[in-house]
Amino acid sequence: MRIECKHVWQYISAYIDGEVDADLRAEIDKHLETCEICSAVLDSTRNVVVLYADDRVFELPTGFSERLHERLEKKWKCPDREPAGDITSNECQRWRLRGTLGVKSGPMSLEEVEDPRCADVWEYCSVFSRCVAVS
Amino acid sequence: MKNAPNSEAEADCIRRILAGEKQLFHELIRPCERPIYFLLISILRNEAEAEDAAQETVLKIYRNLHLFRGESQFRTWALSIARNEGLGRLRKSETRREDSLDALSDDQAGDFTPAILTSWREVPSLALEQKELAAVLRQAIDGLPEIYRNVVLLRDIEEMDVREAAAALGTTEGAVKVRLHRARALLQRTLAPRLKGFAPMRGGLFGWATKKRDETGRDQKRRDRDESR
Repeated sequence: MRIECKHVWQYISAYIDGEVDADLRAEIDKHLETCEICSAVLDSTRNVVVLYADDRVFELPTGFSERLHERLEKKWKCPDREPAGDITSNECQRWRLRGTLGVKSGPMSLEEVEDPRCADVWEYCSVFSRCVAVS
Repeated sequence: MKNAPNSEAEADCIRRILAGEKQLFHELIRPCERPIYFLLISILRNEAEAEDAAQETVLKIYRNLHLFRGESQFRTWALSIARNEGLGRLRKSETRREDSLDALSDDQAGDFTPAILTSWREVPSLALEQKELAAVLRQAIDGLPEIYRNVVLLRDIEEMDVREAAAALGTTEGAVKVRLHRARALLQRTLAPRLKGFAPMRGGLFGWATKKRDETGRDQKRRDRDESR
């Protein structure tokens, strides 16, 4: 039984990905031998995929990665938290929350600052993004 | 997916980060940067906002790293955080796009008939040196409805497998396959007629787009046949 063009089109994507079973693949191959339209549809679909998947089409913005890692470092150095007396990092001491955002008081140990699990504090601050340098 | 990392090494890296070696997080996140950004640009369609959302996503990943249980790949988990970040911003945005979120479903009727070209000649990947061609390709993908665009970005551009793409997008593997098929059909229809203009009049074999799979002599013969017309 000869399959129709429309039937072939339904499976173009799966065919390109090698996800059709052997019997169907054989049928499609047989159809393609004699059908120029379907052959062109297959070729063009595959070529379109190859072209847009090329790394040169979708590139990260210049400096994206550097900015991302800088922001991470900045966040680590400045956990946006009212510094407690026992924090030795000068960087931390230069920053405090502005306004009446309910800065939590009480000492925060260096271990806490370094611990990724004290994240909720950073989360809290990043929502407001209102840090100012204290001269 | 491109450069899939060794999951054991990854788990070890995560343990060390949680134990205090936070600098290792830079290396852990590096392979995720591209998919995170492209998923976000697919959702938000704005470079500056996607970059900001990507940075927020990475900070959230770091903060919540202790919650990662290793039940999925790290990147899948990271991408689901990116997706939530993107969708959250979209919801907050007052200028919601018409096609976003609930406007589309998989049973949506649509015409996915391919462009019929009797004489298709492949566009060499070398032609991508032309900025114009890359822009045409990006525009076509940007013009897709969101649910198709996300799948194209993860499956074809970031080369994730069906399972991982489904997990990252919070949908089923079946839906990913259907969406990818439709997306490619739409892209073929939009792009194939336009791309013909990028094929050089004469050209050797150099630079022809390499076939991903199923490279057979038949295709070359067909090209030759088409050229001789």
